[in-house]
Amino acid sequence: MKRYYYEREITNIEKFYVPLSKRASVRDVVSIGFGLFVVSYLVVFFTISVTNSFIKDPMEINISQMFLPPSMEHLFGTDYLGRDIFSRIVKGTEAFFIPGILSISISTTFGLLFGIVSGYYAKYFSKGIFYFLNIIDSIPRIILILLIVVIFNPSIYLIMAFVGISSIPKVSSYIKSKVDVLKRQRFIEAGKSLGLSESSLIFKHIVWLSSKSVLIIQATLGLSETILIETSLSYLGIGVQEPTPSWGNMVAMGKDFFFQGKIWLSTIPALVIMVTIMGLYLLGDGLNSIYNEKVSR
Amino acid sequence: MVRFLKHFFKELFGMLFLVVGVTAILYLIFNLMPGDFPGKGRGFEGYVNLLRRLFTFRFGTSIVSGRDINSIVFPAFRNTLILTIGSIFLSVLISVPIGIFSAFRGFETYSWPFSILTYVLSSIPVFYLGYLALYLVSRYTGYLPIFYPHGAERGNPVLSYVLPILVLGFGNESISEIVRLIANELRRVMDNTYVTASKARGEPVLRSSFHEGILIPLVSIIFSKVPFIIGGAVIVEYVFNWPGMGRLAFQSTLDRDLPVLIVITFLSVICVRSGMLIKEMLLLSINPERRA
Amino acid sequence: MLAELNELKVYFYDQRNKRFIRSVENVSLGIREGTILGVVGESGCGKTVTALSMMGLVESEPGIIGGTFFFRPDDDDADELEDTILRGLCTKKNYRRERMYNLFCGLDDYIEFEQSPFTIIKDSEKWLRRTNRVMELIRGKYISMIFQSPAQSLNPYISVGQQLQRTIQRFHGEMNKYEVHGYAEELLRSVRLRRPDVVMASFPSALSIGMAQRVVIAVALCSDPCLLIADEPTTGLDTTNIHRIIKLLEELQMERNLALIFISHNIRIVSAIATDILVMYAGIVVERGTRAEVTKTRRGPRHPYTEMLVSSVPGDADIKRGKRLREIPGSMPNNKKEMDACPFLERCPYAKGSLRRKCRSACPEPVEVSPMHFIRCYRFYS
Repeated sequence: MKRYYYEREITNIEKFYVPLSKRASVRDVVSIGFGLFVVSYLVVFFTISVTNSFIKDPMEINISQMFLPPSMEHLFGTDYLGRDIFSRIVKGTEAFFIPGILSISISTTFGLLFGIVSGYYAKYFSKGIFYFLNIIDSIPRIILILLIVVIFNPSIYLIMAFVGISSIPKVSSYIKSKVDVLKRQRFIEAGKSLGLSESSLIFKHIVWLSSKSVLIIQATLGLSETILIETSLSYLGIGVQEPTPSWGNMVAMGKDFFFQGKIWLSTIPALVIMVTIMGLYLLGDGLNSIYNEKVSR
Repeated sequence: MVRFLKHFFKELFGMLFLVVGVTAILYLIFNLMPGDFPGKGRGFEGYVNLLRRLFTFRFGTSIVSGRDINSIVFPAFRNTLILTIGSIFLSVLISVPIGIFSAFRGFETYSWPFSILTYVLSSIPVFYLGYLALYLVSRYTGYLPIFYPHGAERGNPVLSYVLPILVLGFGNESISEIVRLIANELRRVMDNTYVTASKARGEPVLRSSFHEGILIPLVSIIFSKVPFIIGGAVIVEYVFNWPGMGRLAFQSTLDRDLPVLIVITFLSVICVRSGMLIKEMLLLSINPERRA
Repeated sequence: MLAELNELKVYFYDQRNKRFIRSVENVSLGIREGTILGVVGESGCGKTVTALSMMGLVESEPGIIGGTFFFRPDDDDADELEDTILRGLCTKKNYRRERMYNLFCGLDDYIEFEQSPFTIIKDSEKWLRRTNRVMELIRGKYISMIFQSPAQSLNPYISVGQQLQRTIQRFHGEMNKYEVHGYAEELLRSVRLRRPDVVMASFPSALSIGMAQRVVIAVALCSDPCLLIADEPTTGLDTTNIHRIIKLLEELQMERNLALIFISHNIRIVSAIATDILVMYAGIVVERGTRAEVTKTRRGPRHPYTEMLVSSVPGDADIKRGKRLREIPGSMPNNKKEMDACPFLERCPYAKGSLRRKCRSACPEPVEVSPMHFIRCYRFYS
């Protein structure tokens, strides 16, 4: 049963720009809240692991304490070498945090750059940029990564840099379509006739005010993809190698012990991965529905 | 019609141009690396030779295993196709009804649990899901879902196909992506005047919004998954020991088997671009306004 | 009487600002078979919403919250309609009056409407869905509707022929493929389109706006409805097309003995073809009567709004003399408040002196100044 109440009449001038808080529905708030929660624990874990404080040593081998199930002493239990799993999980954030940020910075900056250039100055630079981007776009990402592995024998940072490069075409096409639409809007024409310089038009109006949302959403989704890629690569053995912990290689190492009933070795890192990716995805999705909500109905 | 064909050939030509570009880059880079492959060190002539052989599908022999590449790659390609096309089919089959349901009922009590469920399922990393499925099935049914022709007597053909397809269908975020896409597009189309006008004539909303709301987004998203079709099943193939392109590429990487890698890249690029081409042609034919 | 709408109330709820929008308030209209009812009013006065609610197409919440809509279907379908109403909607005795059925039956079971505080309690989903089931039997078959912009009323992805075929097959399921095709061509010819085969093969984006509007009319007439609602069919057209479409509608109406509800904001067009006229303002009906009574009579009683509408159209003599156009000052009142005065108060040239106090007290009730001619104005109260 729904009740509709009529409160007092609002007589002041109606605002055309509805503030963000009013636009969000419950679902969006929950998504974004959850996403922010995920981001915050990522940041916390990262700082803890980098500063090496507060937790047990993730590398400390202690054979007498092998295979302990989760308890108060060891929050997530211990693995096959007696190492504390919780601290390894915390340390595992190092494996993708900086590389992930590297990846999304590359994809967003260059995506933005190429998108703007090909959108705004379509005539001159388009063909060359398009060709280059198309080449990158045509190779499936995994194949690209494997090729990079063969060619460079790279560290995780280099791999992630290339993952970022491989996302440039997609981001730049989003930006380009946005620029195309915005370019024709009246307010750009108005700005030009008022004498605004080209660069200020581009940066301030087109990029900041209008494309900011696209970039943030792409960055968020990109980060979740990067985490997935890093964990998958580590699982396969070509990412972060033992004994450095990564959520992916923890799952890999732990899977052999499934049959012995010691499922937490593998399951816990997998759950952490799942929650993290879901959180980032929800964050991107929630932001998307807030920013792009069409005022209809 | 003529414009159609003109566009088609233009795109085809562009595709070939691209393939040439990719192989050129690879050729250059591989030439600078240790490891041998046909045509190494022979400069431009070697490159042309390589191109000729690639385009006539005479791939030569693998450096590492000495076997004929053709006999390795094509069966692997077929196996990967089975896996990935099956999983995309499954994803679409599951997500489209959920998307439609969600668009019609709005985001209220009904579709929330569904959405959350699909998100959760889609976020489970594939490598874990695959192994979990393998573990559960083999433990509780006694069957080992091994790829059938290679499998021993304990293999179960149905299971060995079904299980990886199930895992891949659920585990790579496709479901939530498609659900959200369909729900958003349908909702947007349902607000359109022509849908209301059709409703006023008694036509069911789903039927009139079908073209724009379901068909076009589906075509776009299925064909945008072509890169995934080629290489994205690497992990599932690894877990299930499925002899497909992904596993082949992975092993060649570990073995530094350059000829095979060149061939795989070549085939991938062709598939990806043809996928895009087909998608554009399809969209062009569905959307009459684009024709003019 | 073919259809009778009584005391229709349609309210919308603005989620963001938490207030009501009174779209339609106590609108009553009746239409007899074979007549043309013209509905005139400014943009935003609620004419389209009234039409949509007659078709059951109002989907925003809360939507229709009051009123009855009696409709008389054909005898063979009466039983099915009765079944659906009884099973789904309500079982009250007043769902039927003589041979007419109340399509909004059961509304008061689902609505509680309090004046102050302005509260509406509604189990909105259920009632909407149930009326929808009833409306599905009526829509398209007995009542058809054509919308304002023809280009946006046709599905751009399928050809005209296919759209016609779908609709025809829905209502004439027994026809085979060739019969359907033949019937479609005949329909197109009946809306005076030459080369129906070419039209059928083309897509809506290829048609000119006049042709598109005719196609829309053809599709609406597929099922041989008894009532056609035309919501501003001429607003998007240029003058020559307007003339043609109006002539076409007139001819079709005579050929098929259609009842037609013609909605427009242009009183001149409406008075050209309508038999009865309904004037709406701010969600209420301010005048209702035959064409002669409402528009032609110079001295006769008229609502001030109607008067000003009619006189705002310049006559030939005025144009020649270069007289200034007469406009109606002001704009429609805020429909977010309670209606505690005559809505036309601020713009009415007659509201002066002692009359003004009455005008301010409450909204006037309809007064029958001559048979079948109702006006809502305090001037005619005695």
